[in-house]
Amino acid sequence: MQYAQLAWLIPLFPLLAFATIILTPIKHNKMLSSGLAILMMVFSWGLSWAIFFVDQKFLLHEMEARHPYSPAIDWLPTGTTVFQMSLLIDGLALAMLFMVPFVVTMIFIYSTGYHNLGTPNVEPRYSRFFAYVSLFAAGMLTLAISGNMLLFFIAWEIMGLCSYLLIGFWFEKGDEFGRLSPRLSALKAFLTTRVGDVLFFAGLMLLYAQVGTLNIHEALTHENIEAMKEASFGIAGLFAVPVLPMIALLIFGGAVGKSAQFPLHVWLPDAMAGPTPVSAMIHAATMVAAGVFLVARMLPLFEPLHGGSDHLMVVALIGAFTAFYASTIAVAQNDVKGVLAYSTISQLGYMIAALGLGGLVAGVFHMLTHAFFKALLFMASGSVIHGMEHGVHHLHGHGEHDEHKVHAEHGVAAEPKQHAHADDHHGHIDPQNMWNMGGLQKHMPITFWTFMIGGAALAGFPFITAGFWSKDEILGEAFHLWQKGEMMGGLVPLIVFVLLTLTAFLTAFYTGRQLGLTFFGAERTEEAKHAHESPPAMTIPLIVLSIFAILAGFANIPEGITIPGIPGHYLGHMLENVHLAANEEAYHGLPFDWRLALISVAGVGFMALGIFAYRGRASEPLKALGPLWTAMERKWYMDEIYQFLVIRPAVAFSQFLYKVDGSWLIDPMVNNVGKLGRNWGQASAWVDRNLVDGTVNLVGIIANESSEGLKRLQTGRIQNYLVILLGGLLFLAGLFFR
Amino acid sequence: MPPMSLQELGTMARLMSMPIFLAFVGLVVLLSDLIFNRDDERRWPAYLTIAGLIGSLFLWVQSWLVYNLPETDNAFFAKARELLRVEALPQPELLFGGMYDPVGFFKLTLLCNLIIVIVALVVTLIAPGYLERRDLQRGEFYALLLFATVGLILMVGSTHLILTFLALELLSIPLYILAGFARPDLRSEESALKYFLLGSFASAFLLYGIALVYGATGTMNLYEIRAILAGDIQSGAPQILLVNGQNNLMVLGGLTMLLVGVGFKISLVPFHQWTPDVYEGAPTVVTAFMVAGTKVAGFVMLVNILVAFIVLYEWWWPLIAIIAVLTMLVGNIGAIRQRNIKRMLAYSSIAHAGYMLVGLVGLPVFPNIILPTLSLYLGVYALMNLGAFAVLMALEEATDREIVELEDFAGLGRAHPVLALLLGFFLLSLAGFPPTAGYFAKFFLFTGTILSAQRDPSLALQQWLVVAAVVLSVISLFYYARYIIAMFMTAAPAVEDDEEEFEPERPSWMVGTAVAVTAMLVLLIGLFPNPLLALFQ
Repeated sequence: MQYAQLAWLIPLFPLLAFATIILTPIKHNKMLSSGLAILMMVFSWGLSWAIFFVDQKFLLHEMEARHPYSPAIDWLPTGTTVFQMSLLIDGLALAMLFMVPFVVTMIFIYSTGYHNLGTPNVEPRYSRFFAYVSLFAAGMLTLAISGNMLLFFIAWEIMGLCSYLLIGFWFEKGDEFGRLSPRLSALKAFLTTRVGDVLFFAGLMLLYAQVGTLNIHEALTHENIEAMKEASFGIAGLFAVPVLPMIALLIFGGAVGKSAQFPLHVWLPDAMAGPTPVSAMIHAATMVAAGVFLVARMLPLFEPLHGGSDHLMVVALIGAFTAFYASTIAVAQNDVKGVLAYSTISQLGYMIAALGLGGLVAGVFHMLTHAFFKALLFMASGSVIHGMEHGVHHLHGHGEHDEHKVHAEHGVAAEPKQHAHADDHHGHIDPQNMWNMGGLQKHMPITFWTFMIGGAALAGFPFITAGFWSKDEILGEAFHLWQKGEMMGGLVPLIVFVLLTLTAFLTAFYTGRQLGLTFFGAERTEEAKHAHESPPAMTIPLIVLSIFAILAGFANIPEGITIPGIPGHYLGHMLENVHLAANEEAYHGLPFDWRLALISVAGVGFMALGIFAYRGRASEPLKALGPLWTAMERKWYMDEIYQFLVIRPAVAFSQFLYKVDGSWLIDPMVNNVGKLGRNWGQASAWVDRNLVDGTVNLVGIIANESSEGLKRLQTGRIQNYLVILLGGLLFLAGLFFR
Repeated sequence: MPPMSLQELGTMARLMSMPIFLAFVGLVVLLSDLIFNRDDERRWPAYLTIAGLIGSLFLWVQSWLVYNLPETDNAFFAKARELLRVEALPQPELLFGGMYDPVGFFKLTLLCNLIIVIVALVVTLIAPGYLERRDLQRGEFYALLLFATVGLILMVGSTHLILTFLALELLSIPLYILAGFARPDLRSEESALKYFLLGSFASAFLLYGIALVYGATGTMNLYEIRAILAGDIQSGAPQILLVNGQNNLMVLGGLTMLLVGVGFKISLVPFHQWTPDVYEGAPTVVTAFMVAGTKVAGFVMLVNILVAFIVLYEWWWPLIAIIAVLTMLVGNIGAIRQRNIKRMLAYSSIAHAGYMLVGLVGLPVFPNIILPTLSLYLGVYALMNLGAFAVLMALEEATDREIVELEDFAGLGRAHPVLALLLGFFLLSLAGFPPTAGYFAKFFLFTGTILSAQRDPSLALQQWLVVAAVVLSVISLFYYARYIIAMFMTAAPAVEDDEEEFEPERPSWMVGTAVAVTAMLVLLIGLFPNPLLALFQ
């Protein structure tokens, strides 16, 4: 318990680092800035793990299920009530505290290498980067331990801001290689997630109006839920809207935006315009998990008990559809980060689907394992890009006379490939395009092996990777519910199960494709030949994370599998109380089911297929699919649909408003009022000049003239003074003897 | 009078020790001038004077400890009392055969003693440089200054009209000499002569007034006069005040004469006319002493006299009100035209006397508010003026030229930013610009008058006095700000030849200390007026 009392310090450490770097001259020293940020993050990490390991028993078992550790201080008085700032450290928060600060610390360390600290190529805005990511970390950690939805929302918004700042970190860059420019990407991300945020906030207001508090464990009591179930409110006195589904779906809207679920997923792939550590941290491991975390936190609102409510099914279906939909796009991506971006969306769909089936533990479990292996994958891909960029520098950085030769070589090498995206751009190749890579296995062994581990985890390589165990649990949840015939007679779980199974196969396949294109076979370009391994600051975090990408799966191994020294359903027992609060029944871990493991075994086959189909290959074999392939490559035309349905109407509407404002109504009105005011002003100026000023001047003249008169009295002659003195005496005497 | 124990006698000697000690120091300084070689640096008398004044500050602390009631003690006072082995007197007693009251009403006398010593100290700090620059370093300057200071102290505490007169002369005669100290400078001599002639005239009025009051009441002790006049009213058979249904001409005439005599010293209109001439002609340090010291002591004397005639309040308050309005009017309007800072400050001191009279109008209604705020105002007034003069001296030292005319101030803000800022600060404080000490002093003073006007419908007219004072003090901003504008917004006159360009010198430590002490005090009072006011109550 001694550490949990210090929990409020956890987000303060990185916040302090942010403030210090931004506000003090430390920012001029790059080494010091990142050192400070990392040190603060390490403090935060240490404290979090101290709470996790030392205080866990107390927090989980010695406190009552319905009264978790939740210290609060009064914050904003609002009339008769007071908003509190509170922490809530239950099993869910503990799970986050295990994952977030650790992954973030790894990413911080990795960033020093990624930004070339200590070399002449060091990022010019290096210190600013560390300030931003520190602020981000503060936001995420606040979110993880906040016990009040308002504080939660603030942290949520801080992360949104940091995401915006960091996606647009290289704001001066244009749109290279067909990718959206960082500036526009940042805008897109911010605006899209904002839609979700507004829904979220509306849900919070509605919740507050219903229960009168935003403290999580006070708001989501069983009684409150029951009361809200009964309640409904009318819109304009016409429709009676049931309150509980409304609140739940509005809040889920926030999660849809933040966790990039269909249809608000469009921002996430473009968010890869930011530096890769940012992609790893914000857009893979932590921030996007915040939406999942939100749904898990608010799960009681979705009534997961007794076959689930209608709105819970919405969650399940959106999650499952997103998972499948995104994985089909991921198959057709050529950008190494693009594949990962869509795979992130897909995996988030998994988690949302799990939560939508009431599988709190499964969803959170997958969120944790995914955070480890997806951060690993992103950082490894960053390492690949780094290596490729090194190759580009190596070839193109030698001045004029070399340039020519390289072009010739490059031309020869590029001849067989037919990919538009792989084309030259300003004479350089795109270091992110997988069709420019190949054979990197030889040049970047550490990156290769860690990427391999991450990829295996993503594909769900059976038994030894974390991804297997968590994905298996989600599939098991769907399977189990189908068998039990719950949720519309088992239809919803069946749809979810089928979609997720297909997704699992696709995931394995595109992971294999990515590995095959990137690491196997022969080098497709000269640059790939000159790629070489990244510095230890980058590879060491990769190695550490790859260990976790394997071991994290044992956090919740099902019953039926016994591994000495590892308790079964460790995470499940940790989340027991949270689960109980949401489901009203104790958590029973599902037993291990061989039928489900077979899916993953089949997945291995798909992964191998991907690797072998693409190793050393120069062109895309799936082009044979024709229009289907094009649609997948163009992301099912989602950007175009948005352009047509949202952006163009919005622009047209604002142009219309501009016309109303500028030429038809408002401006003429304002102008006329202005004219009237000016005429009035001129009239009053005339009055002022001739009447008021005259009076004022008169006063001035009088003062001046009387001063002149006084001066005349002040003759300097004593005789006159004495006369005046006597006159004064007589005057006074006259007053007395009146 | 009951026989005193030896200890009581000792205490009493201690209580009177301040004027006695200062007179002794004055004599020592006078003698030292004979002993020390006239040709060496003439600062020894100044150092001796400073030492004496600092010593008298300690004596003041001691008498404060005696008279500050133990009930209002804080731990600090109690500790100091223990250290100095001073015992508090439960009831302050009159000394010197009942002619001297060391405390006064609401500690007015006691506090003004402190102000006077600080005034003398600051003047002594800024004097040596000034005198040296004009080759006036004669030792008797400090002795005369000390004698005048003793006069001030006695005047402030006097409860007997004879002592009042003696103190006034003890003050005035050294001042006549000091005003003409710059001989053979014609303006200084003229100033001295004017001051002397008019001063003697005023002294004659004062004496005549004393005689009339004595004739009517049979006593010259102010406390006794008050008791007799009050008893006369209460007895129902008025003997003194009314003769044949008429006001007693002797009492009223005596009061009028007294007011003229005092009014001359504190330059109330229409007895003010000597002020600009004398202030301009006298050496600047002497002017500073007169502006700050004489006015403070004169005001306390006026308060003492008015309190003695308190039963005649209904007669004298309209008189004071009229004089107040006249004084403020003439002071402020007269100052507008002045382009010489000494003359401007002379008129400004007249105007300030008017403000203080506004405060005095409500005296008997709320003495517990008005007298402490008046002592605050007197202290602030003295400090602001001294500060301004000290900065002027520092500027003279720094620029090596005389700075009195408005033109001399051009460009000082660039050449000597710190000093110019300080001068601006003192001038703004004199104008009563918030949040300076001058503002709070005015604010508290006028509050008393407003309260008094609200308490009694027959005194409602008094609040218009406050309105007049506020309006006129707005006018005053014009002539104060003019110097600030000259310093900061006008370019320095072109220098004829390069020789005149020299490195700005730092003012000597003495002047620097004077500036620093006054600035600190004004700033402190401006920032924390309430604790100080609490001390006065």
